[in-house]
Amino acid sequence: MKKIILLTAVVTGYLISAQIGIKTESPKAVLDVNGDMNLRGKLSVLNTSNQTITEGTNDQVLVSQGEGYPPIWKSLRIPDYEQNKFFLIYNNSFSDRVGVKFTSAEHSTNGSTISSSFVKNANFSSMNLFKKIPSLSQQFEAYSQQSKVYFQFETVVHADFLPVGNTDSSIDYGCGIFIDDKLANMRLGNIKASSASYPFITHNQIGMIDNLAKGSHTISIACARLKSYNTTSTLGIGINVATNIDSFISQSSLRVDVYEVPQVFNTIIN
Amino acid sequence: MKKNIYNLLMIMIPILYINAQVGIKTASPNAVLDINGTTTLRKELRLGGTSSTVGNPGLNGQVLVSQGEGQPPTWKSLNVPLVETGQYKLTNSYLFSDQAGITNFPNNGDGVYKSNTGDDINITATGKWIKLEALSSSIEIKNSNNRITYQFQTGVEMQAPNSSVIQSVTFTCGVFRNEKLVAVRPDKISTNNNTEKNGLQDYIFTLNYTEQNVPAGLHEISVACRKINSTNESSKFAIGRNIPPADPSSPSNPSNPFILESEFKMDIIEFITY
Repeated sequence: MKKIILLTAVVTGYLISAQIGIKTESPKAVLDVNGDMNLRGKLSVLNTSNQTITEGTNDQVLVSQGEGYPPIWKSLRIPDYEQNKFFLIYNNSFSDRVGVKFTSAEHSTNGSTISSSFVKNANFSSMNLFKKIPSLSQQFEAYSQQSKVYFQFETVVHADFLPVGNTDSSIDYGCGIFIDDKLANMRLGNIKASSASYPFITHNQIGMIDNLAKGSHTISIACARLKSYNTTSTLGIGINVATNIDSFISQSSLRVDVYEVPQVFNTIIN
Repeated sequence: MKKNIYNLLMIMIPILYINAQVGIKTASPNAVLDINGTTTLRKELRLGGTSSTVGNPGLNGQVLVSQGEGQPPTWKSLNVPLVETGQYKLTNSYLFSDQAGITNFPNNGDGVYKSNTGDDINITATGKWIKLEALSSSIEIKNSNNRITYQFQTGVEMQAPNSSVIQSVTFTCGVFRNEKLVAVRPDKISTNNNTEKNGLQDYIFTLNYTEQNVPAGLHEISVACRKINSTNESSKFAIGRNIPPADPSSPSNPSNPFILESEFKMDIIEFITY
C-alpha cells in the first residue's frame, strides 16, 4: 500500500513532505536508502551559486562541497604527463657569499694534466687543490632511473691584478660540478689583466648529467687555480679579493633542475 | 483523493517507511532504489551511515570514487598538483648534450655581422652556419599561447699561430626553428700573449633566449654556429670540443671534448586553459 502511494506520488509529480526511509525505519536524511541505488538517468545537482540545476559535462567528476551543501560536477585539472617525455620533477637554488681564494702558491697539479685528469666521473680525491664553495654542497633527489639533471652555476672571478703591461698577466682557472664527488661537468676560464686594476668576470656554467641512480645525491662545486702567467696575484672565485667590488656582487648561485621521465606515480586519490 | 493522502502524510506520517525494493518509473527495480529518470540533489549526498549514524557528506573538494561492485562509493581527496587555469606553466622540457662539436670552420669568417629573425640556415649570404647535429630535435607545441626558453652553452677554443701575438675570433651561435633563425648571440674569443699558453685559449659561450607564441604543432629545432671574423687566417678555432691535434698520437693540446661539451635545453611553457 505504502509503495503504491509513493509510486503514485512520484509519477504524477506529487509532493511528499516527510523523511523517506527505504529499508530503514529511522531515515537519517530526506531520502535514506538502506541498500543499493541504481541511477538509469542523469544525476543533477543544485548549483547553490546561481540556484540552477546542473547535470555536469562529459568527464566531470562529482565533488563534495561539505556538509550542508549539495555536491557539484567539476572538471579535473591534472597536468598532462606523457610517456617518455622529461618533466621538471625537482628544482632548488642555492647561494654562497664565502667563495674560495687562491694565493699564487696554490696551483693545482691537475693544471698540467688537464686532458687526462678532467674526464667524466673523475673522483674528487684525484683533484689537487680544488676547493669546494661551502654553501653550494647540497643534497637533491632523483626519483626515476631515466633522468637528466641540469645545473646552472654562476659566480664572479676576481683577481687583484694591476693594469696590464706589455705582456699579459692572466690566470687559468677551472670549476667542476661534482655529483657524489664524481666529476659531472668542468669548465675552464682565463682571467686577464686589463687597463684597469682588479678586473672581474662573470663565470656562467651549465652542466648536465644523465640517468643518475634513484635516490639521494650530493652536488658540490669545486674550483681550482690551474696556471698563472706573469703574475703573483690572489684569485677569488665567488668572493672579492680587492675592495673595488664586495661579497654581495661576487656571490655564487647554483640552480639544480632534475628532469625525469616519471616512473613513480602516486595514486590520484588518498 | 490525492489531497487527502497528502494531508494524511503531512499529519500522520512524518516518516515514510518502505520495506521493499522501490522502482521509480520502472516496474522492475534492479536495486533497493532504482530511478529511471533524472535524479536531482538539492542538498548533500551522504554515503555509508547506519540507522543510528548519518552518512559521510564528504569534505569540500573531495570527489566521489567508486569502490567497485558490492561496495558503496566514497568521498576521497585528490592527490594531484594544483594547476590553475589562466597561468603559464612549464609543460615540457627537452635536454641534449654533445661532445662532437664543430671543427670544420673555414679559415676566414663569413664577414656577416648582422643576423635577423627568420634568416634561413641554408642561405649563405646571411651567414655560413654549421649545425651541432646532436642538438637537433623535433618538439611539439600544443597551445599557441606559449613561451619557449632556449638555453645553450658550449665551450669555445682557439689557438693563435704565434703565441706571443694576441689574436681573436668573432663568432655567433643561434637557434633555428624549421631552419629559420629564432635566437642568436654574438661573442668573441681572444688569446693572450703569454707564450706558456702556446696561443691557446678556452672560453664559455652562453645563449639565453625566449620566444613567444610559437604556432602549435611540430617544429624542428637545431643549433648552429658560424665564424664571423678571424684576425689571423691561421688561427685554429673549434666550438663544442677541443681543437683536434695535428698529430693525434702526441696531442699538444691540454684540453679535451668533455671540458668543452655543449648543453642545450628547451623549456616549453604553455598557457593553461580548461
